[in-house]
Amino acid sequence: MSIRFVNVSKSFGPRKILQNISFEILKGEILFILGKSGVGKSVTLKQIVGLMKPDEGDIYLDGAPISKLSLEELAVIRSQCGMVFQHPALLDSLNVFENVAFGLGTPQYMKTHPTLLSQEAKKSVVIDKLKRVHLTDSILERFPPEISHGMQKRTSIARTLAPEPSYILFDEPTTGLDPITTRAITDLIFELSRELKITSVVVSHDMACALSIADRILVLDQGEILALGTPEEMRKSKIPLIVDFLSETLFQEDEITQKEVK
Amino acid sequence: MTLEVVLLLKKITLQMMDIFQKTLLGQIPLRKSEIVQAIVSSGIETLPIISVSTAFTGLVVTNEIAWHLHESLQSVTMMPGFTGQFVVRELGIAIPALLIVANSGASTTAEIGTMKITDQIDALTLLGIDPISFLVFPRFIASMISMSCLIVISVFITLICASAVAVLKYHFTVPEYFNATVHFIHPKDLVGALIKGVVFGAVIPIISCAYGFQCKGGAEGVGLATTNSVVTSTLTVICLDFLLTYLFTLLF
Repeated sequence: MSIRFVNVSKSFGPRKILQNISFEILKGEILFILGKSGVGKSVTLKQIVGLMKPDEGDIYLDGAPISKLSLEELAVIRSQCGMVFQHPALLDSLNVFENVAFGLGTPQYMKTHPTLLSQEAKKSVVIDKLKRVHLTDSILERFPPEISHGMQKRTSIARTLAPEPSYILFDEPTTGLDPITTRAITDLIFELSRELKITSVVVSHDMACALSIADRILVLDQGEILALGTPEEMRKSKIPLIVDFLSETLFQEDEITQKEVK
Repeated sequence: MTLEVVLLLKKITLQMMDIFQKTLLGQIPLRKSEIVQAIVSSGIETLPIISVSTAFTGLVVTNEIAWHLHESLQSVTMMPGFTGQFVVRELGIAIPALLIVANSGASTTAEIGTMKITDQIDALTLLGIDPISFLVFPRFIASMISMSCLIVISVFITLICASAVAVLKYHFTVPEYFNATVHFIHPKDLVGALIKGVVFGAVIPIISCAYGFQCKGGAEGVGLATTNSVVTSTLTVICLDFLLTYLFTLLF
């Protein structure tokens, strides 16, 4: 049970985004993909679930070659994957309950869960998932624009958790959030991965978060893998880009410490 | 219009036909609540602007026709016939269609475009929902129903306003005016109007949604997609209006 990239290349017009990259994401691990903007982090993530196809090479999810699957086969594979997008991506016309329960009645879900859930059963699943992301059932009837951005993010994670995926892909889950909510979301990713034994792939710019919860960190630069290793290995790295990321992290930590002292 | 949009238009059209056929055969349940909701937003909410616009258009056109008749023939007795035919065959259809393009067509592109750039379309795909079936089909059915109803209403309002001009300014009596109008309007004109309504009603949401799905970038991308959608829909409605009118004159 793993995700394997084999010689994957992807271009948009003349711009090469990924060049012949190969790596493996192991079952149950938290892998952070770091890099500057536009290096293909989100493209890497979207290729795992077939939202984008590689130009060359392939991605194997539990041994199945994603780009060669039919739509029906892809639907089965996708039922094991959840994705938390950069935007909360909640449907504005549905309330929190309907958003979280949305994935519980789809044909894709019915393939793996043949018993149709009653409205009561759905409600209990939704409340359970909201609790998992530290939200209460008081927001069930509220619509996305009526709750804060941080709550929308959590609701989006709850929606992803509802169909019980084996893999969750997080696309910059903390972008646009304040430091406290960022910390809370980062802790949540760690909790979910460890308690539910979910394999998590997190695309981020945030080295501090990566160092605190990742099992391994992959750094992309100019379409290639610059480094892949544990947080400890990253801390010791002498590669300039990683050193830059680390010094930025140390700078932020210093600022926080100084504010606390004041 | 890019090749990408043309291909997407083809894909959505074929998919709509397929879903329509499957729904008629009972293989797919009809999502009535979504369709009703779409009828409310594309039809009922646009009714006030369509009523006001067609009312004033009726007043203007009747005055113009009467003036020209009077100038050229020194008589306005043909006014009900000319006005009636013009309203039922063209004006009562084109004005609501163009207003629907500007109103609900633009809002559909903006809504789907925003969903696209905020990852909602990808989220639907990952949850196993086909975004085209889910988002386009209710709008497609609702738009055809709304457009047909709006055409009937706008024709009625335009004729009422035309009769008001005829009665108040050109001294027709109400029965005189309506008898003359009815004499010139044939069932085939009404059938033609409804066919045009259904065709425009089908085309507008397909174009609006296609541009929404092709939306890229941020707010600027949504604005650009909306502008392109309105321009393409307007041109398509005008061209189709000509083609259908030409076809009807050959057939009837």
